[in-house]
Amino acid sequence: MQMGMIPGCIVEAAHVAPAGDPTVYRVDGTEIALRRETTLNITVLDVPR
Amino acid sequence: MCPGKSMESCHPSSATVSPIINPAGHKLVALIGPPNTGKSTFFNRLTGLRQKVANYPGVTVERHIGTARVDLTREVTLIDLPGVYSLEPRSEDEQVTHDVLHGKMPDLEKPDAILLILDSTSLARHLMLAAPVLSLGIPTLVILNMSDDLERRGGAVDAEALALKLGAPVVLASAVHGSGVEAVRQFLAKTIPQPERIELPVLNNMPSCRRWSGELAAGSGFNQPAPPEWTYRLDRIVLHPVWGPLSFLLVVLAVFQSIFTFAKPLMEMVQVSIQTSGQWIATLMPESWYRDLLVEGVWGGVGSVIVFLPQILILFAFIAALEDSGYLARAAVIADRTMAKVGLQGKSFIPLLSGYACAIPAILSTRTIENKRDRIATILVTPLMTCSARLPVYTMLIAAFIPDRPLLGPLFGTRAAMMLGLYVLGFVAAATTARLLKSTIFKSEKTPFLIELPPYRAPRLSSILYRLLDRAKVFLKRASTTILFTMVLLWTLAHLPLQNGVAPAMEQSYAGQLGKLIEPAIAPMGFNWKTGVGLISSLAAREVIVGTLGTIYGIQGDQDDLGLQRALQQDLNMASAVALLIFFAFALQCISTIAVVRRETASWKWPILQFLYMGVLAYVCSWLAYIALR
Ligand SMILES: Nc1nc2c(ncn2[C@@H]2O[C@H](COP(=O)(O)OP(=O)(O)O)[C@@H](O)[C@H]2O)c(=O)[nH]1
Repeated sequence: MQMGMIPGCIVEAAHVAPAGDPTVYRVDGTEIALRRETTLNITVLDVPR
Repeated sequence: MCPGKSMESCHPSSATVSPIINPAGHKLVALIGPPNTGKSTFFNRLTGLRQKVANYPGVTVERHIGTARVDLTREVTLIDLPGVYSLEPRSEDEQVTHDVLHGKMPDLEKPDAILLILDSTSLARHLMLAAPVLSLGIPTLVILNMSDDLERRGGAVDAEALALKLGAPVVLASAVHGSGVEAVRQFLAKTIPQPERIELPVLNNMPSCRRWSGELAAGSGFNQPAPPEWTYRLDRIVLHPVWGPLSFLLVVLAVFQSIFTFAKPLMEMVQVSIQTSGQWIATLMPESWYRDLLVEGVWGGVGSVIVFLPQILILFAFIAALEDSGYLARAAVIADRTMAKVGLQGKSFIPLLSGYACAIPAILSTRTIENKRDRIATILVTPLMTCSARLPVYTMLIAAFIPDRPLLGPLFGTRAAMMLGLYVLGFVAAATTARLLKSTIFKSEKTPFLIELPPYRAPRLSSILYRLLDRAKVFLKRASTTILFTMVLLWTLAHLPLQNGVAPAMEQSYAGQLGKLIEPAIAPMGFNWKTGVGLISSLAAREVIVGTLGTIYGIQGDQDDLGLQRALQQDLNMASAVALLIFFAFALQCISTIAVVRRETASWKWPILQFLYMGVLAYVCSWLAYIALR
């Protein structure tokens, strides 16, 4: 949350780790790696670029 | 804090104000900001070598305190707070920051001024921290660091406009180039223009706080810089399904190669110089018990631990460079999946890897793990990795008891296989223990895993050197206190009680008697009292057993190793030698590690638990091995 993952923000998946997990997301100008188990708690909507 | 004597001499009268932290009674200035904004770089710029690291009382957070010169006559005490995104006390780092800023830290008064350091390239997000910090009512300078980066990537911000909107002075700075440091001095000397204070809104939910800081940035002419294209491009290789693991492996190999191959001549140099200087000291003094104590006990004992300093420093230089460049975070992403399987996480990888050199730097490098449970789990399993202090013991026992037969071609024989087996054993034990911890003590814990990937940056030599100096100090302090004490104690035990005014034979000494005392306990593994003395002495540091056994069997250090090997063969057989090897693989025989774990976990609970666990594991496995092979 403090790092910019706040409700309503735009998230872009940037890289997936070679082992398939975690995934690096671009949020609010930074990159954050999250595990799949964590992202399951986040709801995302598709937005066109 | 200022390095002791020089300061006391210039401020003799005020030395009693706050004896521990701020001896000169200087004004206290706190550095605060999100992680990776350049706080340490600023701190080093301002304080130079006049700094000191310690832990905050009762917690595992490091406290950096230094003295900075303001102008010709004035100095301030500078304190570098841990990197945080908010002041709400949720993590240990945030709690410490919160307590210091509110003057609740027991041995530290409330700061007189704050330097708030933000990354100007992420201003819209980092300004969120400005509201709670400024509303503390402490004079604050807002430093927008990384302005060189901002410019290069085509961003901009109007510092004066922002100052008016925040009601606090704002400067653009670049810590690595030194710009902005002068403005900090002016602020501390109170000669900087101070905009009129204004009430900032109190925002207690994250989205509205983020909206506020975004609007504030936009209103101050903040122009978001272009994304760090280089970082994106590099990451496409570094996190690539094929090139990623490959480059990862290369980095790991490079680290390994240097801590073993490059460190070796340096370590030998240290060893030789300790030996020669010891012999030289011996020639200066008359033959006496205190000469022996000084040369053998103190010099030789502490020397046997200092030998590891080059290796530790090389390892730290690597870790510092990897961390500063930004690769460490990527390595953690790559390793995470594998580490998660044993209940750890990506950031545990580097500490575990470092454990192959020495558990002490490994444990100190767990600092990068923010999650406390993961950090303690990593600290607890790290000493099971095969550190280089085990190598002399392994080499000696393998050479004496394992016949050299080719196994896979001429290069890989039984001895190499045994050595490899011991390495694997240590790793398997560490992995199993980590799993065990995750399913027992740390079971309930489910904190989300998260790694921020900072943009790649060229590592700075000065920042690496500062950190090396830090680590060297911590290590040498250990060697000169705990280890020195243990060494002198052991030496004394081996040389008392005096018989007719001379030191007794080992068998009659207190150490020998202790060995006899524990003989029944270690007899099931096929060890006798001599091995017992070796085991007791190796509590100080594993490799000490080599020297102790040499002494017990009456073999001089400069004689060839064969003498000791032959002597050992009379007392141990193949089964008990393997049992001894396994004992060394598992047992926590290292005072320095115990001391560092105590320091890093801020409690005796963990080192004691760890010592007992590893001791029981070592005892049981070694006993089983003896029974199986007998
Ligand atoms: N380009 C640039 N890099 C900087 C600047 N200040 C610090 N850095 C780099 O940013 C990284 C993080 O700095 P550090 O002082 O360790 O940040 P801290 O985590 O806030 O203490 C290091 O690699 C520094 O060399 C700056 O003004 N410009």
